[in-house]
Amino acid sequence: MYVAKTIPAEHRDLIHDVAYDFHGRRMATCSSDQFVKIWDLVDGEWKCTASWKAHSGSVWRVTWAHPEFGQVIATCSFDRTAAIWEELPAEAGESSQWVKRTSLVDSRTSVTDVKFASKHQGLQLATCSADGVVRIYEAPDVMNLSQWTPQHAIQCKTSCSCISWNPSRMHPSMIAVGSDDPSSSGGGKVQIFEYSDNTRKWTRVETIMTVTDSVRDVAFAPNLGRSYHMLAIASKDVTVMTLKPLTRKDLGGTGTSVTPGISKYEIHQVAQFDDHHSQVWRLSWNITGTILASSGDDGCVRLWKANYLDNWKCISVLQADGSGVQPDNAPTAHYLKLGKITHPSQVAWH
Amino acid sequence: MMMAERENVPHNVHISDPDCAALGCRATWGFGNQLLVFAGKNSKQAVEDMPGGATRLLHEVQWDTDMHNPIARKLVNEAHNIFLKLQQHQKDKEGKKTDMVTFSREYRSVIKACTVHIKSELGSRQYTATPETKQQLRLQLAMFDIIELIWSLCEILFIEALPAGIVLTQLLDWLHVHFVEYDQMALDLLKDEVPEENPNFWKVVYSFVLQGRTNDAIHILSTRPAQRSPAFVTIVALLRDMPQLRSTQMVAEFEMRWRHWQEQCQQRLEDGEFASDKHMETICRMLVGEDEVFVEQQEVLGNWYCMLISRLLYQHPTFCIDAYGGHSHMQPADNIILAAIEFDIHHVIKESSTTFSNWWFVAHITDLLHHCDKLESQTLYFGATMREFLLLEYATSLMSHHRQYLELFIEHLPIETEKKAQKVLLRSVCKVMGMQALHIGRLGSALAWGLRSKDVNFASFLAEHFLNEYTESGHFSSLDLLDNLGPAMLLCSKLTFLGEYDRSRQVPGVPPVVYKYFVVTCCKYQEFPQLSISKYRGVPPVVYKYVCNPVVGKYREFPQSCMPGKYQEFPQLSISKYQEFPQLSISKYREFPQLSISKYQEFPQLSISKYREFHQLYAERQFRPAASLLLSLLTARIAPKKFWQVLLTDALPLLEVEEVIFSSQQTYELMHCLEELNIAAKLHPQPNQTALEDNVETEKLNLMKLALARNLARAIVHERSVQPV
Repeated sequence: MYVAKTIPAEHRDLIHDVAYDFHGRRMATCSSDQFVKIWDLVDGEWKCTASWKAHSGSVWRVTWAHPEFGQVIATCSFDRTAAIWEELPAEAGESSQWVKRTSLVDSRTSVTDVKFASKHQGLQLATCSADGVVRIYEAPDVMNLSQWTPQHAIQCKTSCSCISWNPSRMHPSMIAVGSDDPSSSGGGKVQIFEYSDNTRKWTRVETIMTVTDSVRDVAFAPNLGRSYHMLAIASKDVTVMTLKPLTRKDLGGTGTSVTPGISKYEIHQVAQFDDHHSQVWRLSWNITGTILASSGDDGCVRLWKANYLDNWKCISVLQADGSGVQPDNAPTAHYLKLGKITHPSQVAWH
Repeated sequence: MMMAERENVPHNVHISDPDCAALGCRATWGFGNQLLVFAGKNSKQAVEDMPGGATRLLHEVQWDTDMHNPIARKLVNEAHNIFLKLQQHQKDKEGKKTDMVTFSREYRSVIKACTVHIKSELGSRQYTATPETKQQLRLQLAMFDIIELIWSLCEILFIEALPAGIVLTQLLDWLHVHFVEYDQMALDLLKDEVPEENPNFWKVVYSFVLQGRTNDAIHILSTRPAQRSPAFVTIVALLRDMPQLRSTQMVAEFEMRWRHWQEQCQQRLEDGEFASDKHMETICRMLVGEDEVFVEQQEVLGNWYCMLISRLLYQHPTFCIDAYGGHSHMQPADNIILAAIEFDIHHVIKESSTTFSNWWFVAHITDLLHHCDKLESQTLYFGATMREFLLLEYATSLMSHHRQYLELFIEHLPIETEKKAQKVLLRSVCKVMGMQALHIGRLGSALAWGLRSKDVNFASFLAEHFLNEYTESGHFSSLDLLDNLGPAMLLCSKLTFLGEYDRSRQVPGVPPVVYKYFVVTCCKYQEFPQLSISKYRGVPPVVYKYVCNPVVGKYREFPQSCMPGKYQEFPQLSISKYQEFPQLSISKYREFPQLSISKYQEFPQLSISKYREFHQLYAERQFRPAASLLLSLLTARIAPKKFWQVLLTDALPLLEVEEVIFSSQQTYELMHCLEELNIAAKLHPQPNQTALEDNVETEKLNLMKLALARNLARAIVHERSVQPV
């Protein structure tokens, strides 16, 4: 593991979010300087191909839509709006042009997170705001991105900081919402909502009661044919939960009356780590949903991974250091793990 | 360091960025094994306590990238081919073991080719790489050497798995092939005038004897000047007589001969026959398998597994690796070999996973072992799970390199999700490509992508684009694509319309799907009299079908038996539902929950490709078929209303040719359509139409009416269908 590239971001203030596109060949950054920048991988180097002032406040989050909807990003900001941007076709050699397709102005407070639903759910967007409302928007015509109709407004009754769509295609739409309400008396800080096709409503199906500290990020793991859902939660610890849908048969045994149309889950906490010893800010799963990266105030990024027996452990730590001294990066570092064999002569016994 | 320790200690990497240290980190996953790290802070207090002025940095962190260089990629690709062949290999075939050995050899030859390639790359003069790259290549070379070494050991022990005892021959071969240091020395010293004076002379001889290569040892020894000494003659005789284990031989017989031979050696040693020659004595001590001699010759043996095999050769007793430093001094690779010799497959895989920086080796060897049914036989109840886990891991590391095909990734997925993933991925990739093509205005290639993925919505969207284009400019782009749509045209109604519009010379060989379309058209005429001209004309539907309908001829060609069947596929409900909502777009149509999508797709409507067929017919001056087709397009009533005008205008030249093309009945139908259009226009006037445009429209309408009236007159005369009163 090694730092392959360091890129000067050219933002005049702190970067809040970086998002790779679906193919990992483009990158969007957003910052407190109210700008959004688009980066393209050209001949192995990241080049900034577009930069514009997107909002009139700090831009918290940026996210890419699936490329089959075109080159589209969504941003959300302290200025109480979220916005959809689309790239216009560029002539060869010109820098690309991004136009604002719409501003979503329904929120009365800072919009703290914005996420596109997975592709199979159509072009849907969820936002959440500090006043505790999660809004679901939809573009009924995927060819016309200037029309977004607010479909639902879900009241969470607590300040929302983050949302995550469940990427599973085998299951009705589901989102997890995290709250950064500082009082730990307020009960569970992560709520899970599910959409019912019958009632055409979002209903809260679960509240994760074990997490009572303010939550900064939630992330469903990509689901490659797993029968259960996996949700990572960042509060002062990193927590990984599994949600296993209960079938009617499972429920029949309990004897309780079941409201039709509302799914029930068996929730397990499979891992919890306090290694950061401080607030954890961001979680990110790899594409296969096998490794979780968590990052926090301690200046470390930790990678967590379960083996085939489902034991979770830390496999890597990236430690930032302020000295500015480049640590000795032996070229062996990425060939033979942990540099156990640090010199070829040690390997050659013949 | 022991494996457990190695597994548990997380890998530490430092990022030098004062911002990150002061404010904390944020990280985002990229594609595969790639992380982007940047400084972050509680959003609420961000602005105040920023260390000002400095540039913000983004750090891209990568790992497991060593399979990304061109040489290793070749290895990956070739191994992938073997992997696929292995997956297709039938389970319960005869001679499975030999097949598995062949697969294993193929893998090894790929590794070998790779190391040879790296060596030649390093050796060539043109190779102008930076010292770092060269160093990396050298390290990689070392790694592949180890991998091949372990692989072939695993092959001997687990895959070939001969009856006990005979393994020894293979192990000796293994030594011979992999530890070639002494062969080189032997070649060098044979070039000398007096080989015996070479400092390596005895090392070489001893090593050959220890490796059981008696003939080679005799060859070297015979270069000595003191050839005729009795000790020498005896040793050569003993070496020559050493029993060789052959795979055809009975083990018991061999053991007997071996014991006899060793007793002979022992006897001669005790008789003091070699007292005069210390070297000869040492060789004889080796032959009788004396403990001390192996300790003395530590230097020649080099590492413990060479010693182990030599000892196995001459002693058979249990071995002790403590003489070679024990566990504490072992290299990770030693651990793997030790595990292999202890027949602990699971341990081999675990050790390899923690030692090598890439997953190539473990993924492929686990897979191969799985196919040999070795994982289960070792009571590894999670064997299969582990295989999938490792394959997935390997695939992930490949994905980080953008040029490794996605296909590779899917194929490595567990079977139950494979089909699903392939479907999803194909569709999604096609859509992305289609969108890109559309984005830059290349409708044709966009449609091709849409068709490939059988994406109904996208195809009808594009078909509409084609129609609009035609309405505006009067010609189609991408003609060759439209002409060759074939069965693909039934993907969506608009597309069928486009193609059918100029169906061509291929009438004899019209694909069955087109017939299906005609059958449905017929049915519709029968079932919906209020919409069809038959009621209008008062002709009984059946008669109408055979006499008036333009497609009757085709219909007759169609096997009778098929017709009712096809008809039954379109129950009343679906057709009538559809008819109630003709103005709805296809995507809306799909929203009716009572109609399943599959039913919808069975229901071939008119559409774009049909329209294109009309043009072809017209161009070939096949006016009659062209007219029939045009009429069917109109009367089936599924073409978008706004396009009727165009269709009618297309009919105009056909009405004006000298020959009577449209029969009177057909002309009635056309008139009916025109009237319907006229009424629709009056009911829903275009809001922003200028007077001039309005005039043009009226002009067109009048022209049309005139042409229809004239044609009707001519047709009636021609057919003599109206009897004079």
